[in-house]
Amino acid sequence: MTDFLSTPAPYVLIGLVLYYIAYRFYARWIDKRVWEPDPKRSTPATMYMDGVEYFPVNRYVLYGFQFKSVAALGPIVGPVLAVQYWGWLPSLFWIVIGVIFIGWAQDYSAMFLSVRNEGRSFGPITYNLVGKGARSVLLSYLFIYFWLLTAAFVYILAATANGFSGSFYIIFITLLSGVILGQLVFKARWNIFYATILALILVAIGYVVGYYVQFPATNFLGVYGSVMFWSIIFAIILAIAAIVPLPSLILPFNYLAFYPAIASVALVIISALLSPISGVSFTRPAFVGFTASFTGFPLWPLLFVTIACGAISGWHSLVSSGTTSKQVESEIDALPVGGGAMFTESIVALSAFAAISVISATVLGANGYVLGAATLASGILGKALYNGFVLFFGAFLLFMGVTVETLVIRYWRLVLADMVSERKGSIRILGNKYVATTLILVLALALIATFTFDYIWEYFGGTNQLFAAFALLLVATYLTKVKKPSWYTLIPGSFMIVTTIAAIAYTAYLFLSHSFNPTKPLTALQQLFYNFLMGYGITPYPIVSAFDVIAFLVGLSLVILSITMGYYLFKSILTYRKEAGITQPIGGKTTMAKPGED
Amino acid sequence: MTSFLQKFKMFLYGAFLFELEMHLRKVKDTYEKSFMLILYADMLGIPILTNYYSFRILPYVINNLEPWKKGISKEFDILEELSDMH
Repeated sequence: MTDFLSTPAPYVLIGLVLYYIAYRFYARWIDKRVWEPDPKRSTPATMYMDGVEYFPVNRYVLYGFQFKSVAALGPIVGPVLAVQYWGWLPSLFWIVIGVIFIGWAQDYSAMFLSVRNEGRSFGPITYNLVGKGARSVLLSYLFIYFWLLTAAFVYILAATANGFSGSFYIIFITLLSGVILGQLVFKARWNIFYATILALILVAIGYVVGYYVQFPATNFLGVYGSVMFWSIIFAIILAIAAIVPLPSLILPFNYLAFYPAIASVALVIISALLSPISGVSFTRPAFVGFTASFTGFPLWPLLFVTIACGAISGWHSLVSSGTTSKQVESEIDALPVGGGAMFTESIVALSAFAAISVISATVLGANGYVLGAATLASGILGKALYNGFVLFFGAFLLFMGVTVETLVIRYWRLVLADMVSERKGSIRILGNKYVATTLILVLALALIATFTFDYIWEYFGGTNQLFAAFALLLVATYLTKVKKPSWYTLIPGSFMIVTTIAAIAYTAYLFLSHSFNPTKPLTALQQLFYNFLMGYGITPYPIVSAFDVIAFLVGLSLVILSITMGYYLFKSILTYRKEAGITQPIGGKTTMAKPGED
Repeated sequence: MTSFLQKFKMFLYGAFLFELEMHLRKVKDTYEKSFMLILYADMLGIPILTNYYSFRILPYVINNLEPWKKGISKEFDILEELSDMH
């Protein structure tokens, strides 16, 4: 029995059972009590059907689409870091509790909010409910969010390509296969079935090439030099992918990459559930302590931002309110599509939790996931396959990273172009697609070069979680306005906003305090950056201090933006409560001064 | 009643191919909107010379005029561009 409990299987199973119970009872209860979906009520998809953006789509198709849209690298990297910092128990606790009480509520409510507001996305809804200032804050926020996201993900791509020699060839050949697939389907008008088979054969060849051509070797330029080398290589690939038209590369690549991706997740989850048979058990401690190993981060508030996607992620509210809400066929579909996809995405986080818990090595970026997943899978399918699985899961990380990143860069361009569109003078050049793409990649490379990934990830996670908090509070604002119970988003939203502001403020404080005393690196990893500079006879301290100050200012601006946005939202909630004549405390049965209009 | 297999097929379609379908719908729409703009921009107050083809094609596109006008003058927000990126 002890053996069984020391494997990931029971915990993954408990997670799955709890998800089912939460979906079946809590989520349905909220759905019926708060939003009261009416299958006869028209949705934006049926009301404004144009066959382009607005058109009704079957719930199962939309669920698959929503799942693909929200599941990426986030639910893998977060648990990988958190399990190494604080142990697997607190990480598992937050993944499960987070998704049950906060995560699904955000995705589902953001979708319903949009459905009830003519399919509008968060920008116009914020403008309507909260005011013009809040929308500008939202845009500034996204601007920083995408920068941090790019830095974090390019670093992970570089660390993975460096850690597993040969994995680069897999992604490179898959990218080429994507180009060929795009040409075959869109230009030569091949049947997608045959084109897919051909492209998948090419991808398989990529795996074989990656397996046999393991060049250059891991750390061939030293750890620092190699990671920077791969960062630059990926920056170039991402720049090209983000500039060329979508059907030429991104669309077919995303489509192709999803085959090995879904196979990887399924394989890890099945292997984790069968771990009592394979005998693969936990090698990491359940609880490290309230202070993290390696970094010294306190459990509160930083655990709650380290694991963002998988528990709750602000990114999802953008997808829920911007895309899928326009295609929901009936109001009763919002729960299975919005909520259901979030619960499914959290299974990806559970797979990452299981993978990282069964290895004890400390490796760069998210490489621990690759080793752990390979350990779990080879435990079931044969130890001889270990090296093959390492490459398979390494390529999976690269697929996920590149898929998301190219689109993030595209979106950054749009945000930047929107921000400078009303200005005059040379600043308008920032709206140019080549300039904007180069700018974000150079800024991201500058962040990566300082080797402070652990801290950057906290900033990124914090920004992501704050976005989630905004989404939850925006929903609470709307629910208050229409005189419906709002506690189920207001309480998690308040918790998230306080926790994430604290997390960002704390990280910013660490940067500031380090700027005064840069002789000791922030983490052991940053020592490599110091050594690199000293190798060229450059004193690292002024450079590190300057970077710390910049990083502190980024954190400070995030905190100010968050407090401003929080102020706008809470003010609106209180105003609407007053208008509605709600006198009872949050969570009680609402009392209205006059019969409600919806 | 939809069988489990059919549901699963629909899920796979959503996860793998729906993104491509959405993109193709958008590309088609862009071409259609541009085509209408060349012919009937004057209906939106854009001063172009109405030509022979505008009248020749009018009976075939008359039903599309209102949706086109509505679509092209629709509120635009960059957050809605997310459908192209997720």
